[in-house]
Amino acid sequence: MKLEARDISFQYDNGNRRILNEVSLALTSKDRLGLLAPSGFGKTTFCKILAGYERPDSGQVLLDGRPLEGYRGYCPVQMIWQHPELSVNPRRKMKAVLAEGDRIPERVIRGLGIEPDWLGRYPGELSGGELQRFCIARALGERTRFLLADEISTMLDLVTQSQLWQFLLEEVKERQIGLLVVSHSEPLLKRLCTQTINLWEEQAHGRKDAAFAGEKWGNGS
Amino acid sequence: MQDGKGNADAHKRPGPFFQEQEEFQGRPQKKLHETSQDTSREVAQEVASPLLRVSHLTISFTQYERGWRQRRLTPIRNLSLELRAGEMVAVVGSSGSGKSLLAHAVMGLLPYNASWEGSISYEGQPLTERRLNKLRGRDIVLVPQSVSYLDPLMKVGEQVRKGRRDGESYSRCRSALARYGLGEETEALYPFELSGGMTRRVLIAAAVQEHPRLVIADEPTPGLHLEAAKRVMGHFREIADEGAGVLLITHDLELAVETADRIVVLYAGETLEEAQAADFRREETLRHPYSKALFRAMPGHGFQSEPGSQPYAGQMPEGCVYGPRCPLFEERCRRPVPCRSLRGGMVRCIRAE
Repeated sequence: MKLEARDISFQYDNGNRRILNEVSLALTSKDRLGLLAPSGFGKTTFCKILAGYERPDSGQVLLDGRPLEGYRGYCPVQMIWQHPELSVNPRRKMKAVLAEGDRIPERVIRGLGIEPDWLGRYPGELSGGELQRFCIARALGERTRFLLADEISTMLDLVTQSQLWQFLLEEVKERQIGLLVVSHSEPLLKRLCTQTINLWEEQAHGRKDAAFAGEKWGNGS
Repeated sequence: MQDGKGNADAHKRPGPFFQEQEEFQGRPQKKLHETSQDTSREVAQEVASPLLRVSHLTISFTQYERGWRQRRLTPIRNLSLELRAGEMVAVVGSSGSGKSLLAHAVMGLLPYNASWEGSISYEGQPLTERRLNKLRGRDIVLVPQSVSYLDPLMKVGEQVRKGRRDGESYSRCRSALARYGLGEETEALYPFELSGGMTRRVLIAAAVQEHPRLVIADEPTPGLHLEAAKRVMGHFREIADEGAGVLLITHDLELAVETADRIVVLYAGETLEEAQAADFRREETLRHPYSKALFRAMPGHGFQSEPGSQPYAGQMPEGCVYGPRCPLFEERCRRPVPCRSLRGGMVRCIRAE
């Protein structure tokens, strides 16, 4: 399968600059693509568009040549969000949170180290790292074909991070799930991905206005 | 107070984890004196006792299991920690090992079903609720871990100003945001309009815009690109060099090694090792098997993962908490493992050499 973004442009309606400017990208089931850019550059927005949560101002997201919004039912493109505490309903127990996804193989739940005891708890009673495992499991339903991982391991300790990624890598290889990894850690992307692209560099080619360059914090601003 | 004497006494004070205090001086204490003479913020107790001392802290939660049946979970057991003025201590460790709970206990922000024992003192005096109410947000500040700590219905500028509307607050807010690379336009945004990294910087700016004496930063860098994260850490280092204490909770060992003075390793609610930051540059200078596992798991150092997971607070193993995963495990590890000093640091392991 192939997930394709064609000339995506996007601007939030709060008068800010256009954060995505004709971005194109293609991802096949065998790809593991790393995405790198400074904060505030639209990495998360781009993931939201790819997963169908947000519509681009112009451009298209195609899955096997068909527009993504044409697919009904479970979306084959699933996104794991950066802040697990904001992506689960605080009033539902973890068991109900898991059930929001597709059917989830038992192997996934075990592989992620989810304790049976956690299922009966509310999100507020789990640590950030524990919550994130549920969010990952929720996105790994049987019909998932593409996985967008938006900074999913920053809240984990190093040992857990490496455990989790090793599990995820095996899972996506075995099930032929295409993977997009957003991270600020280049060594991590080097470990995980077959290819890495820098969103900022891609965008900067087209536009060299001062306001844009100054936004890159640490670049003299 | 600014004479060297009081300070020397502080070194001799026997702390539960600091029998070898002289060796722990990552940065020369002298620096503190130089700066404290320049600045007018001087507190009498500053030198005589550590800025923050947590001793034998135990935190437990009561949960309802089924119906009225209750049970107690103890996510932090017997934890001791000291932080001196001018010092930056990093707390690293497994996710869910109680790092944030430690921060919340110091700030008096534990949830209603939690109870704690032990003592927490600030500048030599117990940190009572009444004192905390006066100090919190002014002298003692928290950079919270979760981005959900911002009020979703209030504009960023107003939150950083803490609702104040005088001219000074406006300019201070502006410069605090600018310091972290956020322009004036950010003030008019609501939290949902910020990206993850921007939210993180707003949280930091809101916490440290005044002149805090103690900063507790709970994972301040996720979501920031390397350059920005380095800058943030550099600012915390500056705050420490100016004479405040910084307790930094983080997963980013690489940055912690570069900026902190000491590193404390937490696992399943216990301190396993306390080391000088430089010890984390090589595996051989580390003491505890878990610290070594952390080192080897860094993406730049092999990305190895040890099997198993941290014991869950409801089912703690007997003796060493790391026992079930430890390659060096043997029969005597089933008995309680005391903390001991080793090569200028502390370790909770009988086999470490």
